Amino acid sequence: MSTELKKTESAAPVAGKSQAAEPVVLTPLVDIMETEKEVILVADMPGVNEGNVDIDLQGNNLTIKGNRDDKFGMDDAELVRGEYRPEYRYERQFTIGEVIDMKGISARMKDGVLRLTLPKLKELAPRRIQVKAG
Amino acid sequence: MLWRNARPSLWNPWHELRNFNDEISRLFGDLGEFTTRGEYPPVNVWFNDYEARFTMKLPGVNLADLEITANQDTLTIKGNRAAEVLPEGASYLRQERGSGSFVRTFALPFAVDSDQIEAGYKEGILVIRLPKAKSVQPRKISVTTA
Repeated sequence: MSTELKKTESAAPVAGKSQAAEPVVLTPLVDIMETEKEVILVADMPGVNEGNVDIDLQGNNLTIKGNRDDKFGMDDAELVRGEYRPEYRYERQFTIGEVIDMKGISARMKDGVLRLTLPKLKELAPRRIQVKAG
Repeated sequence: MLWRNARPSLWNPWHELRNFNDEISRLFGDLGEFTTRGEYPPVNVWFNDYEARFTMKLPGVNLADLEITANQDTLTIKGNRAAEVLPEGASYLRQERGSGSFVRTFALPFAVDSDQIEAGYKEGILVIRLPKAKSVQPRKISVTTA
């Protein structure tokens, strides 16, 4: 069910659309876990599928975005009780304090939950510089 | 803390205010994940002449943990959301996602045809279609000459 997501690195921000057409922006609730080797971010984004989630890492700024793209064929029905807006998008930014290995990032989306694994960059092995007698 | 909400490179008081507003909104559950009265999960209900459709924001729930029952004109949605399993050696930097059981009951203004109820779960959204009972569906009445 879950598929590997496309990663966009340092993508230019999309030019702003007209304000009126903009759906409500929600902050996804997240769990962030850390192990010695990686940082794991889990975000609830119901209604978002793997095709319309966007993950952007610029330097140490991580942005996750998800758009809800369908209205579940409700054109022929009337909303009689609304507890959430049918059209919405998720957006949230984080600052990462660790150096992340960009190539190793993996993202999965399943049942409206985004699971992002950010491996920490292995420290460069110390290099010995030999001094030669002149 | 290792993680914090990112700030724009130039300090912007409006941005700060918006962040503050987001935090307050979250405290009162007004960000779409709870209803304003703190009920979970939030539901939208749609009607037309033939059926009622419920959509529910329900991310990351196992179908085995969901129980939907309909009785005449009452719909009950019961479920449980499993807690995140922390990998070995891992620690939480932030834990906002909730877990546990929930139940919501709705009274419909009409009887439903309980044999025809359909429920689907996709991308963390639960959709339930409840067709009206035949007796309450609109019927065209043809007029015959006496």
